[in-house]
Amino acid sequence: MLKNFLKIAYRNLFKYKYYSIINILGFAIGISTFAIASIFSVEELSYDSFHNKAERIYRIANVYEKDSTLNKYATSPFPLGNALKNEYPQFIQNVVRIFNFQNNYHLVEYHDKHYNEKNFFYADPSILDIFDFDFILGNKANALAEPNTVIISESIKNKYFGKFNPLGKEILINEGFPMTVAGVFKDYPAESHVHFDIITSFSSLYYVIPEPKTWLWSPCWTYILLKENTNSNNLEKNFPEFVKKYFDEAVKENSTIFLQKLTDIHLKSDLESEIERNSKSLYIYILLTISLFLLFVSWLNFINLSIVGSITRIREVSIRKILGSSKRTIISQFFIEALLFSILSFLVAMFLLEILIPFFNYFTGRYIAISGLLRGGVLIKIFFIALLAGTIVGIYTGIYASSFPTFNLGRFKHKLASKKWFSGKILILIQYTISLVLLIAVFVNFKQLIYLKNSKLGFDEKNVLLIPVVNTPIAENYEAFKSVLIKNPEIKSVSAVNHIIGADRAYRRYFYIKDGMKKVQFFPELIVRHDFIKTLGIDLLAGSDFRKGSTENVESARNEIIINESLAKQLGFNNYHSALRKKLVSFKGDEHIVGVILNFNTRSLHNPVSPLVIRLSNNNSDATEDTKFLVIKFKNRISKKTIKFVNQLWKSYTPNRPMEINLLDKLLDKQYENEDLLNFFLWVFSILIIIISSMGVWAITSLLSIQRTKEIGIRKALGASIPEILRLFLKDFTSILIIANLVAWPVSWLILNQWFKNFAHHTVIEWQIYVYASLSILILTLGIVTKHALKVANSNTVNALRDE
Amino acid sequence: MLKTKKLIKIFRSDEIETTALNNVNLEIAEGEFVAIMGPSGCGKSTLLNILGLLDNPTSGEIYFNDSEVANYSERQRTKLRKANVGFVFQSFNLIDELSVYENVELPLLYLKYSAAERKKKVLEVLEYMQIAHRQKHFPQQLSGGQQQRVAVARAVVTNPKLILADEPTGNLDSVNGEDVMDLLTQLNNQGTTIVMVTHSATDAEKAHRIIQLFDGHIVTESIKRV
Repeated sequence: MLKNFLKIAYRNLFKYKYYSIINILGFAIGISTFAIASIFSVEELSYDSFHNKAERIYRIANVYEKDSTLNKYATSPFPLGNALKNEYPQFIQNVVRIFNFQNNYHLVEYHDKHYNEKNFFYADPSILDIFDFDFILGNKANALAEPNTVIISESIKNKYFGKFNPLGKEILINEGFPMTVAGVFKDYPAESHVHFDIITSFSSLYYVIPEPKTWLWSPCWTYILLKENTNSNNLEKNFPEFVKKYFDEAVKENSTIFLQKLTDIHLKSDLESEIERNSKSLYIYILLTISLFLLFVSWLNFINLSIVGSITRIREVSIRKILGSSKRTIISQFFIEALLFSILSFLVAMFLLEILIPFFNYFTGRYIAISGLLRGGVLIKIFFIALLAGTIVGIYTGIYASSFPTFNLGRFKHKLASKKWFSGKILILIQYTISLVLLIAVFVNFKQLIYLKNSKLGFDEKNVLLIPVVNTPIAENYEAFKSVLIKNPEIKSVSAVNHIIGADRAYRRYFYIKDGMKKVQFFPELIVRHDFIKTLGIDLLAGSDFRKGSTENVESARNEIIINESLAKQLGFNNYHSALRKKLVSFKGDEHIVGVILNFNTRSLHNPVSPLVIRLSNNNSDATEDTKFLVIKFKNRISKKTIKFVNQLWKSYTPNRPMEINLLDKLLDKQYENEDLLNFFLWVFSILIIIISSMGVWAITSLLSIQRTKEIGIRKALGASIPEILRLFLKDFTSILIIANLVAWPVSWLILNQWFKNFAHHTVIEWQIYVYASLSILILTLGIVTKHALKVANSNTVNALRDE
Repeated sequence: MLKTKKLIKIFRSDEIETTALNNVNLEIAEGEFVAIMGPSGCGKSTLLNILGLLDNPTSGEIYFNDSEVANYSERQRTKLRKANVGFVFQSFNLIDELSVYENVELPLLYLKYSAAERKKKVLEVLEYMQIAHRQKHFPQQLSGGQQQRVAVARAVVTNPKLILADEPTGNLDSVNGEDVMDLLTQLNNQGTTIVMVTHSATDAEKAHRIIQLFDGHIVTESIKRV
């Protein structure tokens, strides 16, 4: 019997070629996209879990909250790690601090090779105990014991030393610090929130700066390893007391610290000064949900198409019944066929994965491999889902088909079709609703992305070059360097700043008087060189730019600051002019307000506009340290010729250090990588869902055509015109579309408003978006329905009326 | 009223060519009641469908009230048909999803009658057919005889000049069959031209003229003495 079933199934597969292809391909698309989303999610969720002690590793995060200010940092003060370990030895087995001057550009040189390295870190030797390092060369036990020794990753070894053994060789760091290679470790996997390339011991740092003892500066990422069988909550309970005991007077009242589990950092941490940009678990859930919907829609289609397919086989079923087949045998036949379809779909999906994954990697800039199927049981789960889906479809279709009668088939066919049409309608309604919600979300997310990237930030980021100059001779010789640059006719203006404008900033403690009360507050701050306001086209509301001559060359110059309107309001100046010549006090003494500027975004648009102090850096040793990024504004588009000119000038100051070129607008766009990725997924998935839903509509209309052939014949005999018949078909779909819209509009509105809570700044959802989404689906559907309806309407009336 | 000249209808499928009508010349006057008889597959229904403008001939001419209509487009045929022709089928061909009232109303809808006019006409014809008490029922709930009454009601509701009936009593018992034939005779007496395909000699007796068809040819025509 099984052989007979398989034979019929095999023949039907080829007899109804297009139907088979649509059925298998549709479900395979659903399976393969779900597989990709699963592989991606498993990888995202597995971040940092490759460390043997991952479950016991935590990072200390640092919170400062006062009045309207709430700052959360991934970093903590230098002395914190050891103080914690000394204070709570019963909980903490080990502590490591990681530090890089908050600088991602460290010049590394070996012979004629010299590159800026992003992943250079100072760390306590305990890093080798806490984190996993797989040593290829060198002795792990004492690799970081001596000052001025480094361990390097395999790719760094290959980059600088090729095939040669680097142990004992000396590399030069930041043009002044020779360090000896003491070990080579295997590269960290992509699923790590940090990627170490070069690590030197903290003892080497003290050759660069004296050991920082202050609790006011928080530049270290501090990780602790808990003792086994220790509850992190019990340790955290002691933190308020710890802060009170150790933190600086100035901040202890408003500071707290908390633990972040290592494996949570990648998806759940979004603090200031993250070691690398993290992702968000929300995106993973959105991705998984959408891919599940896609799978669901493709499954609904599988059901619809199978039912339609079974109707074409009424005669076969009735003959089988006449010849003595039981209901049960008929159900098993359809069950086996559906199972065969789902297994074929699964195989096609695996094949599709091979094709789709390279596209995925290309467009997302991420890296996933088909071997990811084997992680987290993805392959087995997906195979099980495919089988389960096939089983349900098979049994459902089987029960349905086994109810076919053995006589009066023609008449029955119509009745059956009309019954089926109702459940088909519901399936289509669900597909439409999902498609519509998704399409609206796609449009809105796309609009939001454009909004994020094109919003007026309060400064002009176009045609601006940002060149990191920290620790270079250019920072030391800034004025001379600038004076040559500014002579180039294509360059409009030049300045410098200590953070990437629009992405990052620091904080400084200021004292001020408001309502007669002396107050103290940490305000976000950018330290700049002359012409900053002019270079970035920032609008002044009152006062002026920093005055030249007053601060440039004089050690004891008056300290000048410019504040933004938000800070002016916070300080109590509703009239911006009244803020001028008033003072704030920092550790540098009095700081005079010379200008008030329009608010601008100092961080990504996920965050609200904050108060801001722009301070002019004096031309002393601080200035060199604060001059971290050169800002060059071009008159027109940035030309290669001018970049070459800047590079030549650069080489004359620091011949070995490569110049890193960043276009400010592109750099700021990178802050929205997560949204870019989501946007990509939304587009692809919504297009797929719409394609699959269209297949469903196609299936239902062909079913409808079978049902209605005779009715249409009668109507035509009675004088119905073709448009009248067309209207008859469209009526059904129009009502489904209307219901789908009634459901989809409010649902998507609710979802999107929830989504917007992730952004301090967001676009508005215009009613046109709903109309566009609805129209796209409407036109597509009516197109498909019309095509079918015209076929029926134009078919031969005489044939339609003939008795079967 | 109806005239055909050298009417030929050939059905072609991939491999087979069947000549359903071969050189049929026929004339039907207004007010006539004509029965078409012949064995199965002789082309009776094909001829009726062509006369009713449901189908086009392969070649030849058809005159409907002196207009040549053989080469009319689908749209022109529909227009002519809905105003002038009523159909009665062997298997009734009522729409299952519509009630008796709605089935009868359908042709009026296509002729764009107003709702009030439709109501008036439908009720009138249902009364006449003595089926008004069943107007809210669906076809499945009626007996065969009742269904055919509804079908006849639907055919005459527009007051057509011509009624084409394809074995109207074929699915009915003798009592119901006689009933339907009486209805058709009455309509004919009131001036409606009737062309009826039938296997039943008894039914054919009611017609003024009987045309015998064999293999697509008209073999005999007998005129009944009135």
